[in-house]
Amino acid sequence: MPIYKTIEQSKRVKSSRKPFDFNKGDSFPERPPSSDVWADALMNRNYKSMVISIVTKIMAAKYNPPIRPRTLLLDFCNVVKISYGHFGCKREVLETLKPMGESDVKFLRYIALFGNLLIESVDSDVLLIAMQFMQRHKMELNIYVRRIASKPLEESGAAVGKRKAGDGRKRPATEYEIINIKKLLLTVHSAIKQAVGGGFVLTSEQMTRYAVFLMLITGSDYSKKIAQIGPSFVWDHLHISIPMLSLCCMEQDDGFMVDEQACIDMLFVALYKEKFQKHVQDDSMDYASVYRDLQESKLNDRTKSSLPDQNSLVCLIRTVSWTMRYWELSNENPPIDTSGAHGFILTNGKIEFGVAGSEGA
Amino acid sequence: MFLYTRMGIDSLWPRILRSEGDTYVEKGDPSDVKTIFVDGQVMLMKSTMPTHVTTWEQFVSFNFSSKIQRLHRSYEIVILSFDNYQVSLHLLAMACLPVQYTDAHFPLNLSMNHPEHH
Repeated sequence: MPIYKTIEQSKRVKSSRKPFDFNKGDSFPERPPSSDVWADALMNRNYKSMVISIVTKIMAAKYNPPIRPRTLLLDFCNVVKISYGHFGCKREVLETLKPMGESDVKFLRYIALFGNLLIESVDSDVLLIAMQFMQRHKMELNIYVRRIASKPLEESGAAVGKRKAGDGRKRPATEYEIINIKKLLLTVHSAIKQAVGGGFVLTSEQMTRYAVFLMLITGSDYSKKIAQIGPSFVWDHLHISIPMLSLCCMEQDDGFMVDEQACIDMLFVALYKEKFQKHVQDDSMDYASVYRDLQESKLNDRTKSSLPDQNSLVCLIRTVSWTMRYWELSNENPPIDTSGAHGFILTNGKIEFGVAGSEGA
Repeated sequence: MFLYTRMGIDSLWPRILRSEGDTYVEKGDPSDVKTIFVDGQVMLMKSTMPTHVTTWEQFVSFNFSSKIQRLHRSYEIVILSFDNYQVSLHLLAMACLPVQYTDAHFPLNLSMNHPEHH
């Protein structure tokens, strides 16, 4: 997986309870660890890799399907296809499928091989990756995602059955749902059309791009969450953000391109002016002016200090654009450049968000 | 037990989308699908180690094989996919970061897997 993810992953590792000691060269335990250290063991990447190797090897050698013919593909460092027929089984390495990093982007290449696909994953990235794929392939195939069921926003914590500590209620069984990505995309398009009105004509491709872009600016594994503007605010203000995005995004032969300065001075100016109407002068038209107004306003210091400066917004646009491009690659790994061109820089051996000439934007 | 805190985009987005209606939620298993892709990372994170599991083979059988067998009753093709940290290590090398390769990173070599022809 791209090293850019280490920024968000390191936060997860820091919250781990206690480190599980397993280093390069350590002999691997002959048997699994006891259940009380299992959770910590899986936080050790060396150990986890070794466990995955064992799982794939045992599966490849011993697995027996309940019905034949059936096929199993194991995708780890390479892809092994095992075809279980009525009279035997055939194993082959699929050489055309290159080693890829993250599991959650690997599904793309199987749609071309096997057609309609059901993806079982709790990772919400998968929804956006599948939406982009569906759009790029003109809604020709069907992709479904089975994930933990989402409750509508209107349902509060009490209504959705959240437990309070010590209330004696058992944890309810996790509910799952199957999402039809084509229909999800049509739902998103419908919401956008409704927001901008009938007079504003957008292509299906534009609506998908803008929706994914807006979801990513509110935070992802690869992009920092934009301050003071959450998903609900973004969704409630599609009538503002979509027209602005249409002015600063363009499709080129090599993909999607965002005019960074235009995006900052149109999209982010519009969003922050709407969010902090009372604190921004009417005649402030560019982000520098809006930012200055907000810093000189009566907003509290914490809010002021959280607001992104110009470099932070450039960084956000770059990380989001990189993520969208990465999620379009179906059988290769993304380009890595730690000079800031993608919104990531290398500082003292650590990956951080940033652009050239700045650090930790 | 899930070990991660957040995966992917802001968790409000699926709920916001759901507020637009449920027309995109299938009422049952889709009938036009014969292939299922399973995120092995999640299976690994959810895997447990009950006391009767004392060998790696039992671990795989308990946490993976049984589920894949269940899926194979409904789907002709099951794809079990894992993160490949080797790729991330290569990318680390590109970025001039200190790299520690482990022996865990090797492709599945069929000759080492005791192929059994049934």
